[in-house]
Amino acid sequence: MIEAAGVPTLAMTSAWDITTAVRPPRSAFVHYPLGHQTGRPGDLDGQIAIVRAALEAAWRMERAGEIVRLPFRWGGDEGWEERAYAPGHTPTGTDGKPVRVAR
Amino acid sequence: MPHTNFERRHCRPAGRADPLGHWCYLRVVDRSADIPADAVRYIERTRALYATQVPYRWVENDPEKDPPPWVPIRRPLVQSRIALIASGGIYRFDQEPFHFQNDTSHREIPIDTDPSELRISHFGYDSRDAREDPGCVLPLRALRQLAAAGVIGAVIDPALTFMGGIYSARRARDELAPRLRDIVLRQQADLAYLVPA
Repeated sequence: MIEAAGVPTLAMTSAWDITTAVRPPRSAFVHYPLGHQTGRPGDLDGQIAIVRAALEAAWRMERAGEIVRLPFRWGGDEGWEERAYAPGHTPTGTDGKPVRVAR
Repeated sequence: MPHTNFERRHCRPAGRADPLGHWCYLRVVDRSADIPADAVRYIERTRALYATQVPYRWVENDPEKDPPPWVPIRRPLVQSRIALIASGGIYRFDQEPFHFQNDTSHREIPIDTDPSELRISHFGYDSRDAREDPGCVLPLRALRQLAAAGVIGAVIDPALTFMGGIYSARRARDELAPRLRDIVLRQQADLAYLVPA
């Protein structure tokens, strides 16, 4: 909607399948767990690197709907991909408890 | 080319009017050829997690029938005014928290806000690291440093935030998106930088 109004947009994502379904005009993908879209806590240099890489990629994109993968690896916590939204690993609510799904 | 399948899913009884449960038919577009092998498949996982509920109707845009809009970027990066819009439910300590259900409000965050003054209310992701360092989902300091270093022209003040866990895609589209769009237009952004959580 913002792009349709005349302002170029860049969407970040860590969920490639959802982004493919939505197809924003420009997307930059980082293979990190949800909740860490622009970096690791306390890692300002890493956050600067991710944001910079995303913006530079946006300036290079030329086709609507493109998704560019940025070259960042999460490292460390090796099981995170299996646990993401897997049974028993629902996201926590604001009180730290798992959320009951509303009907 | 994406291939369309239909999946039949049984949903459990939803009350006296629906004693045996009911069948839902999902139109599933198989885009697996597009997706990197290591990317987590969130649509599949959330469908499995909530398999006994009425399946969520994800927004799916057909790239042929409904291609994305496109505006070429007109200014060089070093001169660009970047508008930051983040959906991780971030707000300042002196603002009202987001509500967990269909909250289509937004907040305006001054870009020099100290991370210690930021709070998060969002049910849809594990926000523990984001609470410790909001820069994970609202990169204010990163953008300020890029502006100071001359990599970008400027980061627009204020940043805009909302709570992205809005179940009703229609309400997000009709209530929230036009409001954000109008602000971004007034801010004369060269690029709107959208950061989910």
